[in-house]
Amino acid sequence: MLSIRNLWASVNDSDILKGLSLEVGVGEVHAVMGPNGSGKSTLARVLAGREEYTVRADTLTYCGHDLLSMSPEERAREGIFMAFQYPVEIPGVSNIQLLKTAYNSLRKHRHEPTLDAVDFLAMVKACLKQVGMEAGFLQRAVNADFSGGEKKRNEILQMLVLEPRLAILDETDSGLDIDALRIVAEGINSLRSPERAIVLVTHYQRLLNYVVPDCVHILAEGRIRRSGGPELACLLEEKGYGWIAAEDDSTVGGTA
Amino acid sequence: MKRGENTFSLRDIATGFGCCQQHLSGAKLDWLQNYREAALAQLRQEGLPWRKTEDWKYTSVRALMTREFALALTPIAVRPERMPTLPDVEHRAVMINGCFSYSLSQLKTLPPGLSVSSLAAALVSHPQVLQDRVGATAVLERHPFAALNSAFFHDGLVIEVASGVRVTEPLFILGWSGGVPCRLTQPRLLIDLGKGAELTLMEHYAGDGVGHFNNQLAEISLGENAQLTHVTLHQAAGDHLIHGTHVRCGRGSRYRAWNIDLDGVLLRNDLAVRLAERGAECSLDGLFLVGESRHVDNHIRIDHQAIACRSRVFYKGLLGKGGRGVFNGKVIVHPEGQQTDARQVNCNLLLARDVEIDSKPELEIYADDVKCSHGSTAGELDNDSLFYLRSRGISLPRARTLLAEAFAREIIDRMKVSIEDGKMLCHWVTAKLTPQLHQLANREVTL
Repeated sequence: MLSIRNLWASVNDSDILKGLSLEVGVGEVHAVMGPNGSGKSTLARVLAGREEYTVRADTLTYCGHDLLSMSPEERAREGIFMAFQYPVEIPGVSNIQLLKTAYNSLRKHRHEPTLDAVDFLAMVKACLKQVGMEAGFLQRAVNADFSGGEKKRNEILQMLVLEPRLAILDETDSGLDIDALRIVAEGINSLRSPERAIVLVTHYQRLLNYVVPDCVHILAEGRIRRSGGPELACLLEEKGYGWIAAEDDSTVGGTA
Repeated sequence: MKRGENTFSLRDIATGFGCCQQHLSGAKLDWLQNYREAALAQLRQEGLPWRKTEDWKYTSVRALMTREFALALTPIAVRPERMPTLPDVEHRAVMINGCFSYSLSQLKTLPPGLSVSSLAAALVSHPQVLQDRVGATAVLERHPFAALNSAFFHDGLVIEVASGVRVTEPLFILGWSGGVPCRLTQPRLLIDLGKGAELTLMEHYAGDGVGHFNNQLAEISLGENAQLTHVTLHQAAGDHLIHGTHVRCGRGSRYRAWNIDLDGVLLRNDLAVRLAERGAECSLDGLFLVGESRHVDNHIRIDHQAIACRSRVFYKGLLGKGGRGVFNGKVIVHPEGQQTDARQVNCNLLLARDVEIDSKPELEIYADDVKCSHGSTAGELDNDSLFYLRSRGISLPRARTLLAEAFAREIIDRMKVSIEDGKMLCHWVTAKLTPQLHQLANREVTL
C-alpha cells in the first residue's frame, strides 16, 4: 500500500530524512519508534504533504499513486489521514463544520452523494460515543481551549469519521492519561481491517500494549535502523536507543 | 436630463446650489434656507478634502471631483426584480435615489409609538418640529460631506420612537441607487429615541452599480436610557458611498452599531458619537471586506463628554487582492469625562500581498481618572491551520474561505448574542457575506 525507497527530506538545507525506506502492506499495522529528533514526525508530515520540506525519493507511492505529485487534500481524498502530534487550534471553525466539510469533500471525490445534516449527525454521534465525547463538543471551535487529551481524542474522532485507508498517527499517545490512552487505542483498533493500514509513530511501547503492531521499525538519524516484530519494542523499552547506535558504530568499525 | 434633475459637479458646488436651490425640499422655509447657506459657507471656507486634509489623508475623493452627477430629486420607478432580496421583516422604509418610495415602503402596521415618514413630506406637514431637529446632532466643521449633505438634502427619513416605547420588531431601511446617468443622492436621516425607548434598525445600501454617489447623513439622538441597535450593511458594487452618522447619547443611553461593509468602489463611514451625559454607552462593531479597486475607510470619533461613560470599538478588516482599507478610531476624553472606560481594537486579515491597511487608533485624554486602551493587528492566514484543513481533504480555496469566515464570524456572533432576533439578522448578513468572502479569500489562488 505504502512504498518508500530512499526518501530524503530537508528543511532549510538541513537533511532530516536520509535515505529512508519502508514498505507497509495492506491490512498491516506498523510502529515507527525512535529517539527525539530522529525524523519520525518529519516522516509523518512528508507523507501527509506538508509543503515546507524539500523531498526526493526513488519511490514514494501510495496505492500506486506517486505521492509527490499530490497535494495534501488529494492525498486525504485518496484515503491518507495523519493524526497530528500537535493538533492545530482553529477559533471560529466548529468541529462539526470541519467534519462535515471534510467528509463531504471525500464523498464528492468518490462520486458518492453527500450526506444530509441528519444522517451525518447520526453517524458522527456514533463516533463521538466511541471516543467518549459529548455532543456539545461538536459546536465548539476546532481544538480551541481543548485539553491535551481532548485534542488527541479529537484526532481519533476525525479519523473514525473519515475512515482512511492509511492512517498515520504522529505520537497520538503522548501526553495521554491511562484512560484516554485506552480510548485512543480502542479507536485505532476499531479501524484495523484487512483493507487498511496503520502507521503508529511513537516514543513509547505503552501504546503498543493495546495496539499490537505487525512490524516495529526503529528510526534514527533519518533512516530505519532496525525492523522486527513487537518484541523489538520491548527490547527498546528495556535497553533504550543507545545500543543501536553503539551496535552500528561497532559494525562500521568492524568493516573499516 | 429629466425634469427635476440637475447636473452637478463637486468642482462647482456654488453653481449647483444656485440651479437646484428652489427645487429642494423646504425651499420656502427661512430657517432651512439659512441652515443650508451656513453649511455651504462652512464648506466654502474649509473646501473639499484633498491629500493634505488630515482626516482624509489615506482616502482620495478625486474620482468624485472629475465626474458629473445628476442630482436626484425624484424617485425613479424600479422593477421589484432589480431590487436586492429583502429580509423577512414587517416594517420597511425604502429610499430610491435618496427619495422616499411610498410604493416600496411598508409602514402601515407600525406599532404605536413608532413613527416613520419621508423627510420631504414632513417638511411640508410639520416643518416647525423639524426646525429643532435638523442640525441638532450633526457636526459640520471638518465634516465636508456632512456640510454638503446639509446644503443639498432633499428627502430622507424621520424616525421617532416615543418615550417608554420598546419596539420589538426591527425596522428595515433600504437605500437603493439606480438609473442613468449616475446619481448624486443625499438623503438625510433624523432619528430620535425618547426616554427609555428602544429600537433596532437594519440599514442596507445597494445599487445598480453604475457609479452613483450616495452622500448620506444620519442624525441620531438618544434620550435618557434609550437604546438603539443599528446594523448597517453596505453592498453597493460600483458606487461611491460617503455616510456620516452623528450620534448624541443622553444619560444612561446605549448606542450599539454593527457596520458591515461588503462592497463599494469608495466607501467612507464617518461615525461620530458624543457620549454627552452621565453613564452613556456605545459599542461599535465593524466588519469590512476590501477587494480589487475597492477602498473602504472607517473613521470613528467618540467624544467622552460626561462622567462614567463607556465605549467599545471592535473592527475587523479583510483585505483581498488590490484592496485598500483605512481604520481611524479616535477617542477623546474631555475634562468632564472622568471614569471613562474606553477600549478599541482593530484586527486585519491580509489575504494577498499587494493590499494596504492604514490602521490608526488614537486617544486624546484630558481627564485623569480613566481606563483607556487601544490596539491594532494585521496578519495573514495561518499556514498550520490551512495545512490542517487540507490534510482532512478540504481544498485550498475552501480552506481559505473557512478561515476567512472564521475571522469574520466573531463580529457576526457578537451580533447574534447581543441582539434580540439577532439570528434572523445574522442569517441575512451571512448570506450576503459568504460568497463575497470566498471570492476575496481566493483571488490569488489557482482554483
